Amino acid sequence: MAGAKHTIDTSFLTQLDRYAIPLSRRVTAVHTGSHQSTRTGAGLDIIDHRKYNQGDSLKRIDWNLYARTEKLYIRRFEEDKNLNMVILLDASSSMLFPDSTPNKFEYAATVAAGVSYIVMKHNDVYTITTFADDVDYAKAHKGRDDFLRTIDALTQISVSGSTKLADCADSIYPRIKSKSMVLIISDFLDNLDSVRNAVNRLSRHELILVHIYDENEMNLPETVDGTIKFIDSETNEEISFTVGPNFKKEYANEYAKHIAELEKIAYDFKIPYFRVSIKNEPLDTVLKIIGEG
Amino acid sequence: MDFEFTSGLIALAGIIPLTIIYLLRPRPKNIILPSLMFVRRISQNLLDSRRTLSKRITDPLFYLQLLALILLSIALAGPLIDDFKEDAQKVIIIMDSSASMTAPDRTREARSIAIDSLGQENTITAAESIPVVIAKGLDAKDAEKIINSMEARNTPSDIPRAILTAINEKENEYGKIVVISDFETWDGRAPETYIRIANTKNMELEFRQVGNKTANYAIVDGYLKDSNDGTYEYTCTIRNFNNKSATLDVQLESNPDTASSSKVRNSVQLEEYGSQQIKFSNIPQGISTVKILNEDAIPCDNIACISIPEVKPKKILVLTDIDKAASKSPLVTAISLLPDVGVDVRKDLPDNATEYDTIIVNSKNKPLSTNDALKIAAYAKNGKDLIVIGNECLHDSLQMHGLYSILPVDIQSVAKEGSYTIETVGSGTNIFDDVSFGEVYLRKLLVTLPKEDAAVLVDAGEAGPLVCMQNINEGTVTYIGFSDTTEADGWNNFATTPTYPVFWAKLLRYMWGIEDISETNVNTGRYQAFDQTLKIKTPTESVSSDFVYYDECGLYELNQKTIAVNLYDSGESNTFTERRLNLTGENGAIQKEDLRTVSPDKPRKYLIYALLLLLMVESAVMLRRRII
Repeated sequence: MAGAKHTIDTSFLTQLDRYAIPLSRRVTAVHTGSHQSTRTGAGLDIIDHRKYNQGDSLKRIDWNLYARTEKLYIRRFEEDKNLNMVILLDASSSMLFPDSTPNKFEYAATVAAGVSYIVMKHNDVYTITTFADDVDYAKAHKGRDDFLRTIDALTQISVSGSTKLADCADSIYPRIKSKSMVLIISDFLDNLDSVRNAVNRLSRHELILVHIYDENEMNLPETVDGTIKFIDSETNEEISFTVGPNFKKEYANEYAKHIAELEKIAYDFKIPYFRVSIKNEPLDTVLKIIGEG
Repeated sequence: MDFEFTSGLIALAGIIPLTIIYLLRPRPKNIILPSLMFVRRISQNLLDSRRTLSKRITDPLFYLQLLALILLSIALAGPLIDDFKEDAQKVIIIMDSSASMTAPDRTREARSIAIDSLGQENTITAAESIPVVIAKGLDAKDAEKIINSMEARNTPSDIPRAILTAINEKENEYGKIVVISDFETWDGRAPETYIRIANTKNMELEFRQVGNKTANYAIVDGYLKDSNDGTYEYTCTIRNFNNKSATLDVQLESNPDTASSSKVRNSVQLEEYGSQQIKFSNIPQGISTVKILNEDAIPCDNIACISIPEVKPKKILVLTDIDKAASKSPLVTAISLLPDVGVDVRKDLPDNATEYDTIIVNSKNKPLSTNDALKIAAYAKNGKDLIVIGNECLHDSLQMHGLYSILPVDIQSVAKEGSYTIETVGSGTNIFDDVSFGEVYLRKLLVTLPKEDAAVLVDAGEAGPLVCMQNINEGTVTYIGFSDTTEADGWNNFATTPTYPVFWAKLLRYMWGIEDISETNVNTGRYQAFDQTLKIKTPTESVSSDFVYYDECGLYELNQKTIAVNLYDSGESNTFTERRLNLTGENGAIQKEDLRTVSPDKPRKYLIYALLLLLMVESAVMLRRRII
């Protein structure tokens, strides 16, 4: 794509044709869809029976079964749901790490494109919203043309500012009217309270946290040794340090603590948390997210 | 350039990589991280003091550099570490070579001790009236050869001076100085003082005494007195260095090997340790000797030589154009005052010119004839003494140019009137020390340049020499730049000053080789330097040298003079003594004390090696970090 700032790998998308996203939580939308719900309801497909209890609607008694067993059973139908996928994609400066391709943003955008593709294939609605200091809320998309435009837009997006998840959640919360599947793809290099607040705010939706990282930000490489001036990619703040093995160890410990806190937040809210290295194949990451990996 | 501690230069070179490190290190590597939240947390953790310290010392380079600087500082400070020296490898042998060592067996015993004391590296010094370093840095084998060839001389000794010279020699540090002497004379501080001085300079000093007491008779003093009749009176003291009385035969012999030879013999009765003064009158010009005929321990003090310079009557011819009435010119007056000198004043060269010892050419206005000038030149070339006064005529008249070939100067021009400073130079300073050139006002003179072999005695700065000499064959040609006219327009006022006759007396005595009696009778141990190399005939050999060291008793011939050299030292002649070196009791213990040295060199060396190792490790760390 001419004038593209970012490279998004779309070569793997066709391999996603046979996959669908299961809805494990309460997901409703104004659109009809073809997603299987784990919740029983007023669908067409019977998933099982249960004994009739007083108060149950008589309409739901399976009379044929009664004729065979002389017992009253209630038919239970699988509730057909349509899917509203909201992808919150971190577009802060920290996502431009590392300097090589793909950086974290390109990888995250590729994963977001993969998930969106599956949603698009099932004629469901998806939204890719980028956030950093501000939220760039996009309207819901549906269909192939929208998908292509979305991908194109992602390649052109300006990545800057710092990660402010709590502000993003506050901002987007009123915009997601129905219960939706919300996928947060970020490096989560934000204050843990901010992450917790964001998760809490969006917890009524089916929330998935995808943590994108590069190995070099987790464990400082060998070449980082001696007197080093560290520069924050988001704020350009500088700190000079004499780096030795002890420093690196302490740095890795701090990062591990951060990850542990993120896992704890996910555990507390009983939401899935995926930690993905940008070295991983995007296809594997997408499959992992949709539960097929 | 010499350095006291050469390894220090390596240490200094070690600063270069340190400087490079500090030039390179201030540029830290820039690393962009997605977020500094973790770095900041580490920084916050390090805020407590314990962690702050650990932050500063987490870098091994810091340790290395700190240690390198500490080592460098300590090396510069030079810690003194006690060290007990083993047997010294460096040995300095100071062997007494004075006259008293000529007593039987003393030198042989000294040689034996010296050979036993030799180390790996040896310096041999002969202690005479001045310390004479014979050889340096010899191995034991070569040193032994040198020691075996050493003989005692006839000089007094100055052992303390030889010791101090050895102690002050920096390269003798950590060496052992062995002083071997009979210690008959000791003109210095107490011996143990020198041991202490040596110890403070990291040297060991050992005294070894040789020789037993031996009877000796000696002429210990002697001087000459002018009798004003062409002869001298000689007075000497004869001493008996023995605890028994002795009858000594003393003989005076004058001008041996000549027709006028004469002998006088006398017997002298001396009590134990007694002495007697003897006078000999009518000592004629030439060489005389006074001898004790009895045999004893030291031969050289049994004979006293006397050298009285022979002064023959001299004839001087003054060639001048001044009228006879005015012939009593200052020059003629001055030279006429000299004893045994006949002066003839002529206008032209007489036929019998060769009868004169010296011709003085003083033509002021009327030049000599060309023929006369050429004859005078030939006269000078034949070894006669010639003095030419620098008047205007010498420059202007072509006839006078016939003298130019034999003059010690090249005549350039007549200098313009001015004020010139007169200075004595070279030998002239001694010869004319009684002449007050400061009183002389020099208005005009001939500008000259000295010839190659000429000796300048007095000069007038840029105007050139005023007194300049050159030897031609056996004679001397002297140019005098002082015109002697006393007229109103005279070139200078030298002739009117009181020291003008002194100038001529000194000049002529110097030209004729007539020395003061004190110059021809000297004591052994004297050192004399010359401007040029001379042929010197010592009592035992002939040498060419620009100095003479009178270390033998007898007659020296140099510069057409005969110099009588005598010992005249009762200290050296007194060999009838025992336990001369007082190093008993406490003083003896000092000598045996181990040499305990403190030296910064050894620790410095290891500190610098450690420093270099650190610098290499540091360089390796920097290479690994790609700082360099």
